[in-house]
Amino acid sequence: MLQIKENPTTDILPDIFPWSLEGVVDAKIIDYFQRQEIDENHFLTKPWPEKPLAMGSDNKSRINPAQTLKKINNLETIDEVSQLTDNWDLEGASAFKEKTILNVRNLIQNPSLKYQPDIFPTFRDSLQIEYEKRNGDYLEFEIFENQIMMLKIVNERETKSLILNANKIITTINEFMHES
Amino acid sequence: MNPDFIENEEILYRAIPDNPNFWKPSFNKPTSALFKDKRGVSVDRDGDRKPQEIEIKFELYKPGYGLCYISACKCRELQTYPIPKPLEKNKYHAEIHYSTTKILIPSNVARKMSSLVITVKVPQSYR
Repeated sequence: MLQIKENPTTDILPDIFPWSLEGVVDAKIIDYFQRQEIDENHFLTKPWPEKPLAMGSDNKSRINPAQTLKKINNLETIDEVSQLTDNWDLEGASAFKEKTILNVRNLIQNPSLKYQPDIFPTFRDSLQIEYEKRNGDYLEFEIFENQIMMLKIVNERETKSLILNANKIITTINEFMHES
Repeated sequence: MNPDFIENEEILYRAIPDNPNFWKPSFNKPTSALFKDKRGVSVDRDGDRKPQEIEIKFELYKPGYGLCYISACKCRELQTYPIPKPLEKNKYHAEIHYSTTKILIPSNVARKMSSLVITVKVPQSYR
């Protein structure tokens, strides 16, 4: 029987979540599964549809609940942005192209992406994903229909480049998040 | 208010949409994506109006939006180009471009702008 907690903190979620749905489960996650027509039995017979995030010292395959929740939030954001129509900003902004949405969705769902970003639309037909640290270091990818622009700021040093390979994004993110 | 030129001491107000989200609650500032606009960054000049009057006007036309501002002087320090763009229904309207010939503000400049703006009101979802 699922127990639904309205405002869970990640430290009380079972660390094998969501394979074990007998523990405390976030209402938002259940809601997402239901809307995606995935029921709890799905996880009794099938593995989580992606490689889980490894965490903890025992090196067992576990997922990070906070990252899972953020991923779900990000997928919801992408869904919402995909439904925006022309003039969504009341000043004539265009709806987003399917390819742009797909590019971002693929990135967010990539099993190698260990750290979920913040996602924002822009007013120039692109979506922006970003990571920001308290020390001011910053990593941003602006994803268009046919190109990806990167801005990286580490120790106040700016690097801008055009990204041609999606794998390069993941590598760059993982490196950035491991830099102190 | 000079209809042809924005003085350095003028304040430029930018609305922050609530849905979709442009606010970063952890950093208490808008994302730089707020300043990436292919039509130029749409702002309102203060035009010697009281801040409360401006806030009320934005709330009327864009309910639930947040509001931030930056001075024209700061815009110019960022090497951007604020220009008057009065509309039939809004004589205070202006835009921030990258230069006299380029509209799009580069990512690094948009990033700096997002850090320099002063927030008057956060979007409704975060109040």
